[in-house]
Amino acid sequence: VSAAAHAAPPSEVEVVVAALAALEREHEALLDFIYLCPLGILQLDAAGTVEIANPVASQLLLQIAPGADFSNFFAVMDAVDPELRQLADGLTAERGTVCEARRVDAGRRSARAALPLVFTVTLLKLNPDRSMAVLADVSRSDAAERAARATEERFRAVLDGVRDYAIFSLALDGTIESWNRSAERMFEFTAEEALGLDAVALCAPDGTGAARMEAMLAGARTQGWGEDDGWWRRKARTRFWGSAVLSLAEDAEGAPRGFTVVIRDATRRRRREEELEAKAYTDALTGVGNRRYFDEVAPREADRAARLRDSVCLVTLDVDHFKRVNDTHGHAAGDAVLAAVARAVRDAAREVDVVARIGGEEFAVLLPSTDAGGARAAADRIRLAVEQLVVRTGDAALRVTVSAGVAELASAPDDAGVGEGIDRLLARADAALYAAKRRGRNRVVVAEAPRPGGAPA
Amino acid sequence: MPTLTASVAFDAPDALATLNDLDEAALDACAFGVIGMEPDGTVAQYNAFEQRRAGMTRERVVGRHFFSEVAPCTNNYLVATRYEDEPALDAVIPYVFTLRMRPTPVELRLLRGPGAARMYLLVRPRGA
Repeated sequence: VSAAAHAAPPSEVEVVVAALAALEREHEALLDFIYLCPLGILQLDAAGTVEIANPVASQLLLQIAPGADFSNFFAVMDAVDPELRQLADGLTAERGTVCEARRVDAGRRSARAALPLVFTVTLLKLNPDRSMAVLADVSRSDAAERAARATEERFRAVLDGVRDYAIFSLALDGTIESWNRSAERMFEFTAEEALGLDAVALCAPDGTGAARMEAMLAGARTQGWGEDDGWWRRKARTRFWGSAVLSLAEDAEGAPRGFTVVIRDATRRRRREEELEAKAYTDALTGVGNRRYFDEVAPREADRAARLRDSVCLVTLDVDHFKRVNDTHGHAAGDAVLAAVARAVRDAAREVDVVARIGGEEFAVLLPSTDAGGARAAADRIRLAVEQLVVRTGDAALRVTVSAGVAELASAPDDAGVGEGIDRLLARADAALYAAKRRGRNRVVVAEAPRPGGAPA
Repeated sequence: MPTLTASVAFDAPDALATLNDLDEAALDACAFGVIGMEPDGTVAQYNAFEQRRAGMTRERVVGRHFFSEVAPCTNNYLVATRYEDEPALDAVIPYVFTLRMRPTPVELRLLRGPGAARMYLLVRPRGA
């Protein structure tokens, strides 16, 4: 077809030379292939004598036996893995796998070596006189793995070892998605018990959990994080004061994936603060909050409720015919009555409610996350509890009653765009209280909702 | 015109300077392997001895990166790292290369100078 057809046929010598040249090229390509193979490959005889080794195998063995003769594979390996020889001797079958990816920790072989040498050995017996060994240097991946493990262990130690913190995560719907030792320790719920639970279950059972959690989640959704200082509950129903930060967790595409919660047990700090504050804010006679306490806490609570569109109610209570008790039985008897009434109010109120003595014989109870109906029921419980009281003083056994006014903070701003505020709320509750007095005492009256912009009823 | 007398011994003290002046024929006359590398590690020279020793032709090797594409078994702290770390390098180390797939003890001389354009790796069979 081509010029070759017209040329003289190649001589025998030319054919052989061409064939040799082709072989040479193939041989060179094969050598190149084996030189570049990233694995060490060895062929051994029955005694372990190295018959063939590629450069990577030589280089690996050189690190174990620098400068030394390594004509025998097992002799070299004795230094780092003496068991390998026994494994090979133990395989009495004519052929089979002596070991597969057996890990050898050779340690740091030189001061210049950046990493400890770790490699794997696969040893295959092809027949009684011939074995193949494959060596893979895994120093780098091994070091990376160890670093990752160390980081993870450090992180776990932080999570597990620090008693004062709990870190866990919530799904977007607020149910518990992950739970670890730190959370287990703080809340005493096991992972099995906690996973899938609504996080509200972790709040102290004072009726405000749902609102607190919703406020935190709302904060996290809108600004990336939400926080809360409050009482949380342990499984055993004991409570602790915790500062919580809840942050939005996003997936790789930036879509919200859930929430991460970090809670610090601040009970001790809280107790210290409480002890310091206690004296200044406690009514010495009754042990409930004083007027100063009410004036500080109530506006904050009203603001919080207005901001979160949460309901809050105020109950004011006044001991009926108290002047008569004082006049008839003396001031000591009057004091005993006030203390007993305060205790009854405190006992009937929830943990989260703000109880204070705001006047001579007047108490106030602020009920967060409670509507007028709930507040009326609470006020009635208090009224009934006081009615049951028998206050023993000297030789007298006194019975007293209370009248109560209930007002719910108006959620809608007035004409001026201002929320109702605690002063007007207090005025409305007091007005209801005097209505209760006028209607015969020992009763609860709920204030009408205020007319927008109008004066309190 | 190459001078027929130009040559260098494996352990000549001024080997680096001399190697820079030798042409291909003079390098081929050496009784040890000579690999000349550009500062980036690319093979520029590969003498006859080294071609025979390694079983690789000059055409296959020149232009490749020595430590990663020709002899990855030297891409380690014993050899390659020293070229990176030591601007003035002249060290003889015992090493093992493969000759016809058999581990063969060799001596390596690692040469690199700040003033020299090229780095050199000399390979001499041990006990030879």
